[in-house]
Amino acid sequence: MSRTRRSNSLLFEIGNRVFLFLIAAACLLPFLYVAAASVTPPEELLVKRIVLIPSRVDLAAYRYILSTKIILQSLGVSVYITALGTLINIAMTAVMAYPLSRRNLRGRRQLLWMVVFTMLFNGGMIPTYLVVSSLHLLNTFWSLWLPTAISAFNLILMRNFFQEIPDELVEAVKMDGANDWQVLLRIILPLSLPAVATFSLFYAVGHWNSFFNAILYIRDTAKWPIQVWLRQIVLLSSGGFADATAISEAEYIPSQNTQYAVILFATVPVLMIYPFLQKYFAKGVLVGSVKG
Amino acid sequence: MRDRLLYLMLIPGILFFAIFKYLPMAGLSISFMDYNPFLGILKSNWVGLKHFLRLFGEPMFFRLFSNTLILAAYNLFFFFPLPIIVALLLNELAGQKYKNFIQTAVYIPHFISWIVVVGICYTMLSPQSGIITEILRGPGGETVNLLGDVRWFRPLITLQVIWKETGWGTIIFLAALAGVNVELYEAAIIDGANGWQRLLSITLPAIRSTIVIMLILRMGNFLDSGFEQVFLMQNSLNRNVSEVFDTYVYTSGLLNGQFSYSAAVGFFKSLVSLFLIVSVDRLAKAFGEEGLY
Amino acid sequence: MKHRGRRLYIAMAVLAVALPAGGFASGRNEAAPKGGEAGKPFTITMFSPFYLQQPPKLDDNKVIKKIEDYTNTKMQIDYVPSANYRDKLNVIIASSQLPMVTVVDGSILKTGNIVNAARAGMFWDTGAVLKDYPGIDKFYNNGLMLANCSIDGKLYGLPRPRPVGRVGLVYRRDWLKALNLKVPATMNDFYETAKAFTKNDPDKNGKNDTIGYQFVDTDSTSPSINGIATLVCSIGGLNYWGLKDGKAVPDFMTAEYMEVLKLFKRMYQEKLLNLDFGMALGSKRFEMFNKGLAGMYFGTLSDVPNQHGDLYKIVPTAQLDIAPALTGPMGQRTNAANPGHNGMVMFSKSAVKTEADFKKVMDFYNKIVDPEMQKLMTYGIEGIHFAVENGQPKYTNAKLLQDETADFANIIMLRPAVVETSADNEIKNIMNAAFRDNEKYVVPNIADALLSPTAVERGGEIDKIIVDARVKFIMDAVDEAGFKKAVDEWVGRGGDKIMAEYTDQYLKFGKK
Repeated sequence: MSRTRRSNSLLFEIGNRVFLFLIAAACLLPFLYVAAASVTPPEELLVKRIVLIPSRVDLAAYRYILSTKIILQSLGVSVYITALGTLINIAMTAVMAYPLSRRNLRGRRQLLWMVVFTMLFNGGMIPTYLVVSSLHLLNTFWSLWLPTAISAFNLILMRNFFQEIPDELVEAVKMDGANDWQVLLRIILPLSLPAVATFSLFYAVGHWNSFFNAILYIRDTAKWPIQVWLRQIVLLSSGGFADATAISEAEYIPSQNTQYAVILFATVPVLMIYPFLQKYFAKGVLVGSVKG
Repeated sequence: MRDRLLYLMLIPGILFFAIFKYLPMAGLSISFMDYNPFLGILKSNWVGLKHFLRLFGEPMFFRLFSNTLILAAYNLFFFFPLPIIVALLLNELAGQKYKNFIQTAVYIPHFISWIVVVGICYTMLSPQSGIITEILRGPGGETVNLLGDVRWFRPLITLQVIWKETGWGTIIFLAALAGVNVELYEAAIIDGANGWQRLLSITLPAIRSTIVIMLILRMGNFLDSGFEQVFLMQNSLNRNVSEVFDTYVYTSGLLNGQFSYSAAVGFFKSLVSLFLIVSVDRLAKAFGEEGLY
Repeated sequence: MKHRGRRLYIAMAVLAVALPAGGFASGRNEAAPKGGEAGKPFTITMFSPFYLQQPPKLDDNKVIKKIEDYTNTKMQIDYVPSANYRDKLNVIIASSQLPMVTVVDGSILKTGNIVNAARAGMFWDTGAVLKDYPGIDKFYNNGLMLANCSIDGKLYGLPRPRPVGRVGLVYRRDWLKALNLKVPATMNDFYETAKAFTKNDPDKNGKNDTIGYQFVDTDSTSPSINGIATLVCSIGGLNYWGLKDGKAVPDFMTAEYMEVLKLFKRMYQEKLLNLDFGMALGSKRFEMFNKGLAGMYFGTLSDVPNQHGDLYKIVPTAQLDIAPALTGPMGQRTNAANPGHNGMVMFSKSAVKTEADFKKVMDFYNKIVDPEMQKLMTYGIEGIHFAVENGQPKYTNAKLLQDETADFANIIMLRPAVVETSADNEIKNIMNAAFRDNEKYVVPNIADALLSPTAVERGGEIDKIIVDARVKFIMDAVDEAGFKKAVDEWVGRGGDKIMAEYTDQYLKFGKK
């Protein structure tokens, strides 16, 4: 799909590229430090503090993480939780956002008000746990998917995107006999790909990084996502917040740079998914579909 | 009914909110009790406004409120516009590959944990051996202590947030920009409009509603200060400006199992956020925007 | 009920004899009599935090199986990462899902939640029946620890012992030797040693890059690692809370405390300690020491064997040692005591429903303290975790033992405060010797045994006032008058109530 692109002055183009490059560099440099630190021998890190190129590559941190037998299994669990969870999220959010985006819907204001209210007032951890428990969702993956099925923040933004789609389009299709469900599937969603991509990303990252709900609701440690174990490893390696009066003579503590390796575990999957989504953020992705 | 299908579509969502958000809201009542998990909500003592009075009677209360508000204001003025600006700049990039590279690079900081970010900050600024501290050493060899300096706390916090969250924040605006009709640009170019004019007449109006909604939503957690970050950056020297509601609640509420008190503080924060959201929404509507609801 | 109990005792006695004598090849409970309730293993449900990277596996864990067979029980343990244990415990209590045995560690034990629950009768009173279980009774030979675990003078669980004399002064022995100094024995020695370490180039590298004392004092790090209590006690002061003129008084209201603060202030000005002490991140507290740039620190002695691996890599010739309990101006030796426990295992009445069940649980623990079980948990199983060499057990797979048992044995089971093994290396022997020695001189913190609702309600908050004031005083940002003002603020914002409540409790339960 070609796009005519001559628009800005050369000066602006060059300036913009340089400026954005500087910003990207400022963002990447600390990350490169984290990546380098994760393979630097801890004593070298201690002495030199900032290392971008280690004197030798020390994979002890990674070996330690992968030696924890349950890590690989929990990786699969996390993928499962994220994939299905995101699907549920997007389905429920879109299906609710669409009616709320129809300006002539009766009761729209009240419903939106109800949604906004939940963003401000929160019953708290214990009451939510009691609800989940009474629904017999404990120790199942549903306890991770259902209580967080719709984020009010994402819902409102998605509704906003749906609202932007010209009414003429919807009217035209309806006059051809389509019902609202078909409108959602055939018009709204295809025209909202950037939004769907965005919220899929938000929800997916949320699931991938979650750990607390799993600890709270699930007893079976085989069902715990990877972040539970990674956080425990970081705590063990930093020895900072660990209660010194508890486990006294723990030997074989992971090295201090394990926390850097853990960050890579969180980042790399997202880095892998994002390129697939990027095409939805390209400009003019909707050209051609908007003719009416 | 004309909209029957629409209402049917609303049912799963409404059920969700009813069960998982509104049902637990009964728990808000614990801010009016001396809640003990052992006794449960039904049997804990009702104490009315006792916890709220305690909060307002705190000599620290005014300081907490102002610290929280000022930090939020810094965030609003210095951080909020940046993802928008960067998204606009990214939008103007010609090459898709270069654009993708920059996009990926800038959102990476979002995934670096606060402990590492603050750790790097300490390595730079520690009065004992910080790298930048050594560069900034005064003429008489005096040590500069930015970490303990009351004047630097808020700027440092804001700079850290800017670094960490700007890139991730551009995503939503990029999505909005992707929906702008490209033909409008083409027509404008033919009409001789330059970049600045295209920005003002096409781009900004197109994403205006997104910006407004994001602003209003931001009010919803205006008093949330990013607990982990502030807690790590807080120390005895900057406590005057660094003690915010979230860190206060941590020590006086959560650590000692003071459920009711922390609930009361949370309830107070929610009330203030409610006021802010309603006000900003009204303001937006006065300017002709659609608003939140 | 009494009959069932007695039959159980007989069955267990039979087992106790049959198992060690006859052993068993495989399969469960081969020696147990068939049928009858007395023969069935008693299931105990437990809830515990875990601190290592994974909780110990429960299936196919030979150590646990041995314990189960020995005690005729089956253990079901729910594990939660230590950092989130408190939250999970709260929801479990709120939803009335407490299991039979719950680990309640030192930081949670005296909070309102648990205290009120105990007072309301949620947990079994073990103190009243302790004498019926001679094994446990003998095992607990530290009255201070028992007192510190009690609520209103009663014991609602079984305390988990930890070393009482756990805080001490760690120093670089090689530096001491290089400068020909003697081991610091008094507060003044401490100062002089720090000075020498800073100014006299103890690592002989020609550079003036060392400091004498690695200091950490923030509101988020434990006060036991700032050395103040140790030094205050050494000159005759209090260990945080003590009794003066019949009233409970905190140390920062005393003259000895101010003397120690003045010492630190002097050390700060003379740059004998690290200038970022007030804003250190807990995880970085050993940074200078492990780089080989600091000579001493006060800390939890349990850290000494395993927190300095990096130091030995950077300075292979480094030698660490622990100073004996400091001597005061009147010749008395002191050591600021730790509470001596890390909470208790508590037995909920909702899960342990009957007295018979309670007896079974107590019997279980009574057996855990048997030497055979203790040896099992220390060394593991011969052939798997250790082998016998020259009559002494020698570890063959210590890591496996740690993975399989540490989060179980050290957390849920009763272990002595100091466990010495034949595999201990030099630094561990030094540490254990220090534990044993310090115990003779401990100065208790009387608040460890007392309860104050105001302390729970606002203690954390107002203690920050004191921490901030002393950090500023040491850094010369406030003067002595400013510090006194902070103390007055502390008193006005609830401190006076705390003092009154502790005094009241001490008069009722403290004096024994």
